[in-house]
Amino acid sequence: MRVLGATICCLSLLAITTCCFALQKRSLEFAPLPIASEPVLQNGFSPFVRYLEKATHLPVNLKITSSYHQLREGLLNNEIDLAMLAPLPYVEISALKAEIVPVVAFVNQQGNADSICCLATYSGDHIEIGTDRPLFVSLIQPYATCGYLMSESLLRQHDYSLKNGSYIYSGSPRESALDVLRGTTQIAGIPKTMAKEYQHLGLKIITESNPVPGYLLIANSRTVSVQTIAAIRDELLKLNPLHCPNDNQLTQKWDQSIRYGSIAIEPADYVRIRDLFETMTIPGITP
Amino acid sequence: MKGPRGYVILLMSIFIAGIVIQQRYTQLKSDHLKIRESSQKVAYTSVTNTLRLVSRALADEVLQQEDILKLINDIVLNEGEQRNELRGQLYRKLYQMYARVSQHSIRQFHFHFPDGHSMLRFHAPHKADDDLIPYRPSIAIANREHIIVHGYETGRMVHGFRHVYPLNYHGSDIGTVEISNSFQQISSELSKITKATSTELLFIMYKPDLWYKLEPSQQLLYTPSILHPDYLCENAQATEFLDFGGTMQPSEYLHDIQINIRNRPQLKEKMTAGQEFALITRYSNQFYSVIFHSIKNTENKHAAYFIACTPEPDIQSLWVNALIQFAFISFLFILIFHYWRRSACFKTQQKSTEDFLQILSNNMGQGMYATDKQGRITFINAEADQVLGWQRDDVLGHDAHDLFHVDDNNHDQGCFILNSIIEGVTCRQEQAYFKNKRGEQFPVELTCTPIYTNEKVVGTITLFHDITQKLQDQMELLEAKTQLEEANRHLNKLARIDALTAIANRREFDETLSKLWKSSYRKKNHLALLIIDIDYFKRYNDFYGHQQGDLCLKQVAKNISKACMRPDDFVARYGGEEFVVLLPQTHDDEAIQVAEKIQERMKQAGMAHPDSPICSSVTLSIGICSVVPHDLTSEQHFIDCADRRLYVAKKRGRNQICHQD
Repeated sequence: MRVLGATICCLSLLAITTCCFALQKRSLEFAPLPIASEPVLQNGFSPFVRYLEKATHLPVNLKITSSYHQLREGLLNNEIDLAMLAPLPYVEISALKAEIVPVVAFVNQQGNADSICCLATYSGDHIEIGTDRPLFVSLIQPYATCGYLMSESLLRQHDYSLKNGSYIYSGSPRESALDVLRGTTQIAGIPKTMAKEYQHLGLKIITESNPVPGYLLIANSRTVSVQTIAAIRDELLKLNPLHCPNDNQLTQKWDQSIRYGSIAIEPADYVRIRDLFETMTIPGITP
Repeated sequence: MKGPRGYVILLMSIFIAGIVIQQRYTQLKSDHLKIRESSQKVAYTSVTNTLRLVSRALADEVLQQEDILKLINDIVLNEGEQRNELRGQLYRKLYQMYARVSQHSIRQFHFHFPDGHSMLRFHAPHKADDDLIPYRPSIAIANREHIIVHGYETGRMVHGFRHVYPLNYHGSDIGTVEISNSFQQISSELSKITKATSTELLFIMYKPDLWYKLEPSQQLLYTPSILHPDYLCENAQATEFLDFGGTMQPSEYLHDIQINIRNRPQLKEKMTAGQEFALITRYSNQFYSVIFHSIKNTENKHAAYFIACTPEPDIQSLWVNALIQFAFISFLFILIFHYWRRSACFKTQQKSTEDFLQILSNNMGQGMYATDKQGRITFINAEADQVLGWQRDDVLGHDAHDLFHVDDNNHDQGCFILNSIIEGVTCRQEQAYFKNKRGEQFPVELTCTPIYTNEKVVGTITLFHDITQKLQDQMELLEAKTQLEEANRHLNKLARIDALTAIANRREFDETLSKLWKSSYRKKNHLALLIIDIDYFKRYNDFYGHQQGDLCLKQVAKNISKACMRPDDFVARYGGEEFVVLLPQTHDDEAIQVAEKIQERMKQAGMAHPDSPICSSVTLSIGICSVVPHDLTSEQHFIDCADRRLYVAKKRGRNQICHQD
C-alpha cells in the first residue's frame, strides 16, 4: 500500500508539473474576428497586441485567420489563446468548450457595450412585414449577431420566419444595407447604427431589437493562466479612451471595434443570445 | 617640356578631353531626357484628356437625361424623408451604371446641391449633406458660375482630376455632378502606356493645397514626402485608404531613388517653386530618369507633383560610351606623351652623347669625321677642323673625298671610305695623303670604320692624324741609327785589332781559331798554325829604344801579312814580339812555304839589328803545327804544339823554321 501511495503521489506531482508547464506558455496567440481585410486587421490589431504584451509580460503573436471557421478551429484545438469575438460566436464556441472565458466587452464610440439590431427597408419600396410575403432578406453572415439570429427573432415577432421566404448573406452590414437600397433585397437585417448611416437614402428601420452585447475579448483558460487573464482584464479595464486623452492617444490607432475602451462582462447579457441560439437552427452554423 | 611640365600638359589634355566628352555626354543625356520628359507628358496628357472626354460623354449621354434631371430637381426641391426617398431612388437608378464605369477609371460619381452640399456619393453612399464648398473650389466655381470645371483637386481622402458639370433642369440650376478620376486610376492607365519602359509613378501633394482641408484626425493620414517637407504622401499605415483602393506607395527602388536625389542642389528650390523639371540619377548601377510633372489645380496653381521614374538603359549606354571614349582618348594621349617623352629623352640623350663625343673627339688628339653612306660629312671634330683648316660648317654635308682626300692614282685600292662602305670592313692606311684648305698635301695615318644600323652600313667614322712630324722623326732616327751602327762596327773592329800593328789582336785570334778549328773539324781539313817570334827583340829595343821597337813590330806585322796571301789566311799579334798565323786547309809543307816566304820578306826588308848576335838584320823564329782537328786534340794542344816547335827553333839558334818536335 505504501508503494502504491508513493507512486500515486509521484504521478500526481508529474501531472501538476506538466499542467504548470502547459499554462506557462512562452508566447500567446491572439486572433481577431476576421471582419475586415488582412491589412486592416494587421494595422488595427498590431498596436493592441503590443499592449497585451506589456500587460502579460509575454510575447503575443497576432494571428490573422482567413475565416471564422479557422478561428473557431484554432480555439478548439488550443492553438489560439486570445480572441476578439462577436457575441454569437462566443456563445457558440463557449457551448462547445467550457474553457473559453470572457475577459472584457468592448464599448462603441458612445460608450455602450451593446448594440441594437434592426430590420431596415427602403422607404420607396413601401414594404409591410405583415402583408408583403414572402420576403427577400439580406443578412450579414451566419455568425453575425444581427444576422440570422436577431433577424429571425425580430421576424418571428411578426409571425414570420426566414424559412418562409428567401435570404442571402451579403458578407457585411454595409452591403446588406446597400442590397436594399439597390433593390436587390427587400429587407436588411443589420445593426441599427448601420441603418442610420443610410437614412438619407431612404433606408427606414421597420423594427428593432433590445440591446445585445457587442464585441468581447475571450481567453482560452486551458492555455492561458488565470493570473494572465486577470492581468489582461485589469490592464484593459483601466483604459478610458473616451474620457482620458492619454488613453485616447494610446488607442487611437487600434481597430475601430476596440479603440473606445471596455467594460467588465456581465454573463447575464448573453443569456438571451444563448437562449435564442439554443432554440434556433442557423444555416451555416448549426448542422 | 621636361619634367613636371610635360605631365601637366598631359593631365591638362586628358582633363580637356574629359570635359569635352562629358559635355557631349551631358548634351546627349539632356536630349534623351527631354525626349523622355516629352513622351511622359504626352502620355500623361493623353490619359487625362481621354478621361476627361469619357467623363464628358458620361455626363452628356447618361446624366443629362430628362428623367435623371427631374429626379435631381425633385431632390433639390423636397426635404426630409421625401428627399431621402428620392435620393435613394437616384442611387437605385444610377447604381448599375456607376458599377460599370467604376471598372473603367471613374473613381467618384458625386451629385451636389446648388449650395455645395453633398447630395449623393456613389463611391461612398453612406456620406451625404456635408458642405463641400470650404475644401472643394471646383464645386463652388461650377455652382456659382454654372460652368464646367476640369482640373486637379485634392479631396480629403481621394485626390485626382475632377470634372464638375453644372446641372440644369428647365432653366433651373439644380446643382452639379462630379465625375472624378483618382490618381491611382490615372497612374494605372499611365502604367499601361509606359509598361514597355518599366516606369514607376508616384504622386505627391503640395501641402498648402491640401492641409487646410483636413481635420486633425485626417492629417494623420498623410506623411511628409522624403523629397520635400512641403509635400505630402499618403500614409501607408492608414487603413482608412483601404476603402478607397489603398494608398499609392512607391516601390522599394523608387523609395531609394528619392533618398538618392533628395539632397540634390536646387531640387528643393525647384519643388518649392513648383517648377517642372527632370533629372538623372544612378541607383544600383542603373540610370534612372526622374521627371517631375507639375500638376495645377483648378485655380491653375501648382498643387502636386506626378513623378515618373524610368530606367534608362540608353543613358547607361551613353555613359559607358563616354567612359570608353574617355579611356581611349586618355590612352591615346598617354601613348603620344610616352612616345613624345621618349623622343625628347632620346634627343636629349643624343645631344648629350653628341656633346660628350664632341668633347671627347675634340680632346682625343686625332682628327675625326663621320660620313653618311654617300660619303657626305655628318660630323667633324675640332682637331680635324684644325688639321684640315676648314670650318665645321664648311664641311658638313660635303663629300669628304672631294673636299680633302688626295687621289692616289698609284693606289689600286681606291677611296678608303668607299671601300669601307662597300666592303663593310675597317680600312687602315698607315700613310695616306690629305690636303688642307690651302691645297697643301700632308701625310696622315687613318682608320676608317663602317657604322652599322640594323646590320646595314649607314656611314663611316674616320680617325686620322697628321704624320708629317712623325715621318720626319723617323728619317732622323734612321740616320742616327745608321751612324750608330757604323760607329759600333768601328769600335768592334778596334776591339779586335792591335792598335800598334793594325792587325788582329789576341782576342780576335782566339775567336778566329775557335771558328776555324770547328770548321776544320767538321770538314776534316788541315789547319796550320805558325807562331812567330822576333829574335833578340829585347836587345833591339834596348839598342834602338821602344819607339824604334814599335816600328820594328809594325814592319814585321806588315811583312807577315803580305806573305799570307789567301783570303782565309789570318794574321794576328799574339803578344809582345810574338805573332801568329792561321792557315786553313794547309798541310805542313804548305805552311813551311808560307813561313819561308815570311822569312824571305824579312830578309828582303833588311831591318838592321846591330845588337843581334846571329844576324845584322832582324830575323824571325817560326814554330809550325798543322793538324786535322779530331776528338783527341784541342785548340790548346794545337797552340802548345806550335809553341813548342817555336821553342825548338829558338833553341836551335833562332832565325829558322821548326815543324817537327
